[in-house]
Amino acid sequence: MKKPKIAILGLGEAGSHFANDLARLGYTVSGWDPDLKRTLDEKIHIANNNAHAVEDADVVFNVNLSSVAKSVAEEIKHCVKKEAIFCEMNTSSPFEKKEIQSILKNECTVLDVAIMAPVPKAGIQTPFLVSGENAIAFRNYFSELPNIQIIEAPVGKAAELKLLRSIVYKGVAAVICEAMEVAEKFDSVPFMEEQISSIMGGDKNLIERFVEGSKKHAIRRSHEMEAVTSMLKKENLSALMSKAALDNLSRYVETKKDDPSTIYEEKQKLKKAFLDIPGTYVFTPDHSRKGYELNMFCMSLNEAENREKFRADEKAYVDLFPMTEEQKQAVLNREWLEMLRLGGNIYYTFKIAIFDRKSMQHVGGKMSGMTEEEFKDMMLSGGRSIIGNRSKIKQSK
Amino acid sequence: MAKIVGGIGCSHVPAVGAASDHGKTKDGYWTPLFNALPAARKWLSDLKPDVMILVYNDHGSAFSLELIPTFAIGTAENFKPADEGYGPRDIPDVEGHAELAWHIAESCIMDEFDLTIANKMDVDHGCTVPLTVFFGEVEKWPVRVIPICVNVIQFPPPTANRCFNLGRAIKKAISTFPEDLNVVVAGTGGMSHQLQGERSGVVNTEFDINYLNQLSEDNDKNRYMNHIDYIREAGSEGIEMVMWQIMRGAMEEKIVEKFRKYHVASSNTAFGIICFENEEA
Repeated sequence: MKKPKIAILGLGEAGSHFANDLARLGYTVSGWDPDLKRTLDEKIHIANNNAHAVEDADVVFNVNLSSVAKSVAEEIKHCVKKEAIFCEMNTSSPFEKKEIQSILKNECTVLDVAIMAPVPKAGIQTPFLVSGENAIAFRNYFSELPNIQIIEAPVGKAAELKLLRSIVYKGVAAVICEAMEVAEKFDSVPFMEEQISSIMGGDKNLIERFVEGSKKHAIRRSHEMEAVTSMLKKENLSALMSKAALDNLSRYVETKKDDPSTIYEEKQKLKKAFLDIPGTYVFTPDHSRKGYELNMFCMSLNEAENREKFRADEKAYVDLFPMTEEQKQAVLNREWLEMLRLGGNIYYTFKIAIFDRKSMQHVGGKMSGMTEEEFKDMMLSGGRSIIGNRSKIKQSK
Repeated sequence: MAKIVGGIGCSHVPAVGAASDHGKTKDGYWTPLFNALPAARKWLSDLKPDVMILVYNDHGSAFSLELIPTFAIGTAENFKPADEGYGPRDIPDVEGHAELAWHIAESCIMDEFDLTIANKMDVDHGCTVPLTVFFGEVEKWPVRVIPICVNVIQFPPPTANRCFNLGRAIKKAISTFPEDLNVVVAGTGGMSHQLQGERSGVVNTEFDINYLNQLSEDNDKNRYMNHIDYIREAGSEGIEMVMWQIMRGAMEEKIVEKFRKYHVASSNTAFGIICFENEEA
């Protein structure tokens, strides 16, 4: 069988291992990650976005955080080949995996692929559990990989089994974390190590892997344990232990947040994402600094006395404010979009519309090239559709 | 002891206040919304609330870009309706509950939630429109109100999770206030809407309905949603819905829905109101 072309969405720890291993095995691999940090084999093609990455792919690996899995599926929806198989590999709940299947139901085949062990050790040879209609296609494509187990069950089953495993694995990890922390305090580390080893075998290294792994992967694992607890909650089962394991991981997430680089990365990511929303001027710090004087001019119109001054002589009144010439012109000409571009915030610039006795629909229409009536009608018939308005990247496809 | 007897999520669309102020509630445009409200008002008055904690955001009225508190609590005895450019709304002043407000401020700050204390704060439509929705046209508001003002205009606003946790801190504070008071917590703003830019007018009904359902069924989804998803899905001003999480955090884990109305559109906004009580233990 000819080797399939692979697209890997998300090139973090797991994704980059898969990509490198597959490239070395001779597969054609493309991929994308909004925030690429890993070193990749030079044969791997890095696309411009998720949608581009999947264009030629026979097999797509979705290896992001479960929190973005759905939006990734949306992004690639219209670009993925009909005969492609989309492997949802995130640690999402069975329910979420089914949701992804329904997003892509007319686009391609979705398989539920659960990664059953830590990836760095075995890379692409990590044990996979695969469910979904035509799961066998996965094995056929990757017949040279030794650890693929197919379950004859719908999408969601593999995820379910993985979560069941997590109750044990993450629960034990939580107990070990606590035990070792306590042992240190009580100056009894060797004693505790002996106790743990006597129950579950292994040595110091195994214990350390449990403890360090919990800290290092706290965010991903806490998502996983959230999925576990919500699954148990849905079935009305007790989730006492799983909740405790989740609490323990949350502790490490908090510590992780203390790391300055985590916050910085988060900030950069948001900045990028905001720019991707079409026709939207998010009032970020940069925006706010640019528009400060313009917005404060608008603010002045809250006072009746100032409104009278503005009414008497608009030009003279705006000249009292240290705005840029462009900002003044935009105000005098009531260029609503231009005001936003120059740092205006709608709650402030709308004060000019209030002054003019104009409605929000008038302003909304001006900003989106419609008359006030057309805008009103659009609102009455349910508003502007969100479909096609979520992302510039998707719009361009 | 003071006790939280109800929680409300509610939009604060200025046009709803204007419709009430200008006698337009029986106009065809407004009847779908206003005709639904008596049931909610009855539910609320049956709870015999003494105090309402009203979470809202200021829209360049009491605060401007000069000073942007993330969370501010109104500790005054009296709050004036703000002039938002039309002249102040012709409605009663909002009477505060300084003693409980100071108690909440003190407890929250000791609980490491550093609220800004506002002894003078005009309240704009964010605060007064929900009062109109809850009580209609009255001579005097039938509850005392503690306004809690949240920055959702300047980015970054607090995360939904942070808001939820503030709700928890407020709940703790209220449970230790010695006077017997029935307290209702209202989180306002939303639902999906975008006022600005080429995308203005965006409404996402599917998102809104999920959000409403998840408040009682699976609120972690709302609570851990990040800013970008709120904005992308619910519009740049839909981010206001993080304020509903303060209400949600102040309620118990299990809550029972008592009333809901969702209507598109009120001016540029999907309007939603939903009422909860804690599930009986």
